[in-house]
Amino acid sequence: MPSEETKERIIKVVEVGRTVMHYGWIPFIIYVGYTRSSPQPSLIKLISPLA
Amino acid sequence: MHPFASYVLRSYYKATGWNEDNLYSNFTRSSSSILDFTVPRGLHFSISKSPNALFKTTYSMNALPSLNGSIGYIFTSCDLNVKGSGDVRFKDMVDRFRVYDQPRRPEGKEEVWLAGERVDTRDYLLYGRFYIPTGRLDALYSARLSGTMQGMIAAISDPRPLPLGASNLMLSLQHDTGRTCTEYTWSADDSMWGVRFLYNFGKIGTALESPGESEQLSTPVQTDRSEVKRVDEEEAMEGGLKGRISAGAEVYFSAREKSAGVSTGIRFTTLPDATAPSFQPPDPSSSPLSLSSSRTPHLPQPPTTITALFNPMMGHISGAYAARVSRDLSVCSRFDLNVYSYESEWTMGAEWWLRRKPVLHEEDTLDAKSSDENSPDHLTSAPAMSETWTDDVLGVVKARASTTTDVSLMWEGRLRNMLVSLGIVSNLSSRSKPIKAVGLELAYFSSG
Repeated sequence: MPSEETKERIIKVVEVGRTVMHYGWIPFIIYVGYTRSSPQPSLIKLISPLA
Repeated sequence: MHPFASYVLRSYYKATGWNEDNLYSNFTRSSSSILDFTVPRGLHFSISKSPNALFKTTYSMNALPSLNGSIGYIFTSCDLNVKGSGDVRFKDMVDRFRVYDQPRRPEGKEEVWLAGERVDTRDYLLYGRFYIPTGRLDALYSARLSGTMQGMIAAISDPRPLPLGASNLMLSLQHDTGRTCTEYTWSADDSMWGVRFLYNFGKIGTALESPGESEQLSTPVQTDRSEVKRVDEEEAMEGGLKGRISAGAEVYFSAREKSAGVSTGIRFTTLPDATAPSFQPPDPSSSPLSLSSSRTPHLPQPPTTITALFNPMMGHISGAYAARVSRDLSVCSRFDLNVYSYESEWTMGAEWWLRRKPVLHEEDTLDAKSSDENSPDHLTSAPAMSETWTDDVLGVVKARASTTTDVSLMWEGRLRNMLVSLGIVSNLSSRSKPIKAVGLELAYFSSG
């Protein structure tokens, strides 16, 4: 069995990972879309459908 | 109407050759497309754009009763030819009754080798949607692991405290071989494990056949019947519906919640080349000049799907019958019964396609009729007429009524370049408030 300290550390890591995913997921998709697309569109076109 | 994101997801499956209809979770799709349509409530607007073939952006806003919105981004590794809302095939955008094609083993991407190394990458899809003002995030990652395997990770992350914001992570692994399809799922919220399995009896389509749509008008297959029969050979008795049978089951259990469940189902569906009786193109072999076995009449059978589901633990039985009775009308009826409580529900529904009047010149048909009956022109005139009918759909009207819930009516169609969905839910037994909800949904998307 892992000790209490390890458990707490795991919970903390999971929590941080969740926060990173929550705020980083959409920028990550835009980044992937921006770098993998050819021809590379302007960034504003990727972010907004109205542009 | 499908939201733009699910339209893109379907296009992605189509482009990568993944058959989502072979999953047990989509077992009753034919009947639920007629009976379980979602009526929009309030006002919904969505505007989407694909700046290039790989990337899509979508904004949506809901007004009435409360104002909220969301922004979504989708990236796919393969080119998707997503059209604009003005020229997209209308039938691709709505849930509708279909007889699904024969399942076939999905094929992976062609291997690309460069200097002794495999350089092709596996196909994947990234999707994220952020809700305003709640701050909720929906995320999806789907990857084709091999020709017959697909993995999926879906997550909901809600920063609000627990009773409001429920976060979850779901993993799913799908393995489709055409004959069988297995799906393993795990959900983090309640540590629920699940296995879904589907088995197709009978003939399986080969991978080489192009996956044609069941609905496209196919002339009856002539090859089998064109064999010249012996004089004394007896005709096979033809009757009933011809089709294929699938059976499936689902098992799920959660150690944390100490709960489990089982569901089983069986489905009969007619073969995809069945056409509606009123839309049967004349059989050329019925010509007196034909030497083939013209005595065998081609029995028309309406495209039909019959499903039965049984959940032994909950004691729930559900049987549904859906058929396209004419070119424009599909009807469905479903009976649900709980064997423990005798609670029952009978639901009936229909979808009716509205079309433009066929672009046909009256004189042409008259000319064809007045000409020699046996001339080849006459024989081909009717199928030619049917071709002009195929893709001039104006919209669809769906209606649903059941013994327990409300009566729902919905119209979906296209106004200029916008897709419109208008729905009403009413409760006819309540005199004080006969109309429960009204909704309007407008969607516009473009490419380039």
